Amino acid sequence: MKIKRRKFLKIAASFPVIGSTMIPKISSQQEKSNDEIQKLIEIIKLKYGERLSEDQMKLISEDIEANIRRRERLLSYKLLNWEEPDFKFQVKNRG
Amino acid sequence: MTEKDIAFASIRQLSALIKAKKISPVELTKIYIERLKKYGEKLGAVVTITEKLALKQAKQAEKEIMSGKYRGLLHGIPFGAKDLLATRGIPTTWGAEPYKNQVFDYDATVIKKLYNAGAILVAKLAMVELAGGMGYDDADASFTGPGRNPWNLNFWSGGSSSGSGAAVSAGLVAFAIGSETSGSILTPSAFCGITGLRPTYGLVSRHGAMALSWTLDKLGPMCRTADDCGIVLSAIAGYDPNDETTLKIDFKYSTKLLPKRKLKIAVIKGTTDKAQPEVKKNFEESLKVISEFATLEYDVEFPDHPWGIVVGTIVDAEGGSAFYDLIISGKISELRNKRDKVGGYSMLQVSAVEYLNAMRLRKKMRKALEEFLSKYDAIVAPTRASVAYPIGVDFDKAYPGISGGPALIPAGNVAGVPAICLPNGFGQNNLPTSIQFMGKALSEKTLIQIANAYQDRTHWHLKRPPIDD
Repeated sequence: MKIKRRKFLKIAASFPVIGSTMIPKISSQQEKSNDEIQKLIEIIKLKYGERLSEDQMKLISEDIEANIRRRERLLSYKLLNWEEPDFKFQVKNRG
Repeated sequence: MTEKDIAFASIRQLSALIKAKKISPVELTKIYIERLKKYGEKLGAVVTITEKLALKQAKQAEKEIMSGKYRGLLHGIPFGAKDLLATRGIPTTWGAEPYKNQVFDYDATVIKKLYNAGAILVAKLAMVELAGGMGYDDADASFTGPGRNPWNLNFWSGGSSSGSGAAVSAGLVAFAIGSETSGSILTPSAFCGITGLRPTYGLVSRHGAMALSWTLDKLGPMCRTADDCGIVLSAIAGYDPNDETTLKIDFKYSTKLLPKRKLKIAVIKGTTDKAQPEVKKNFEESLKVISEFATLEYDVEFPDHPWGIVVGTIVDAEGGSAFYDLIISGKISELRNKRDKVGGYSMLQVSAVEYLNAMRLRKKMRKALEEFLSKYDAIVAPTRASVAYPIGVDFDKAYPGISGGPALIPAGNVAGVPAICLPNGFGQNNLPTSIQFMGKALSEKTLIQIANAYQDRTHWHLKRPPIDD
């Protein structure tokens, strides 16, 4: 079972503040986020709008909003240039 | 022993009966098939009863055992498989309408290994559609309908291995295989009052299993006892050239193991602060029992990292890729749950940088958790902060204000470390509560020893749901 997106908003709010100083101030941040949410909704409408109802678009916009909040938190954590992802590309010598 | 006693017996008890020729694999298979037919649909637990195959396998097992060719503890034991495991010639639906006619011409490695051990496939078990990857928000999220809890049919059996949890709990199979991306073995095991084991990532091959998240998915046993989990894990673990992530390590377990020394177990701080009162009370009672065989260190702070954020980003990115065709074709609308029908669209908007940063953070977090876990033989906490959710109510409206504190399930899955959960009492509406033990990578044997010691001192795993009454 994964965390539901709407619920994530509530859960994320209770997370400790590590990295939170990286997040811009709420007012301008909120404004930019709202603009971005609208743009991302427009993209989905453009690509798949014909098949989606208004109620479904509402659910999608909730998902997008939660994803943006999640992204803000995620990208606020400092990583150093050489810190690699937790998987490795490996060439295998089968000769 | 009555037929009902047999249906609820452990694998070890059943194998002793089979070996002593007190019951035949055919008789045993018929008992479970009868129960699957009687209760499977009522519980929303079954997709396909594999009667013909099962009776063929049972007859074969009987013939071999009678001629002295006994393969081991699983020989002649009927089991169910979550319906995301490929089984040759039998539908493998992934719990989802768009795949309900899907049939593979090969068996998943886990299935093959169980066949080789002499186990008998009696059913493909219901599951949350696509293992819950599209963001479902209530129990009605499978093309077979909501999974119902054998302890109280108005409540959910948990997800995403819903049928596996309910079928073991109701005595419809001797054991089941479930899968976990983030909580899908532990949650239904906890809600249904059974014992579930999430193995270390890479210990069990996922070849032939539906992929939701390649770097998180794991397969594991769901049984009536921890001892049974050890027996099943022993059969399914090991390197598989068809799954490059498998480790070149076996897991051997045949006799019941108990701790050989007093173990050190950390009690994680803050896990019961916002839990249901019964969960808290049962957990505190459990700690008294555990202290009989282990040294408990109380109020241990769990490493503070963005476990939920990272696991959510990885599931969305990998799941969006795994089901890209389903999403862009629009066939995702054929899914059952209202959020599943649309969840994929926002998943496609997760950027490469988000995914990579999540995977870069994951490395640091995994190391931090490994370091933390290396200080203890295990850590202990309630598996879930509440009992099972009611059917027909959105999850977030089911138990307002209830939460579990530190995110142990996402953390364990991000780090790929094992956990075992087992019933420890009852809470609201006669529904089971559960405790979990989590340990460092490849500490399954220690976790099973701890759980065995607990189950030797308690009777919760022996309780039967009122479904036969």
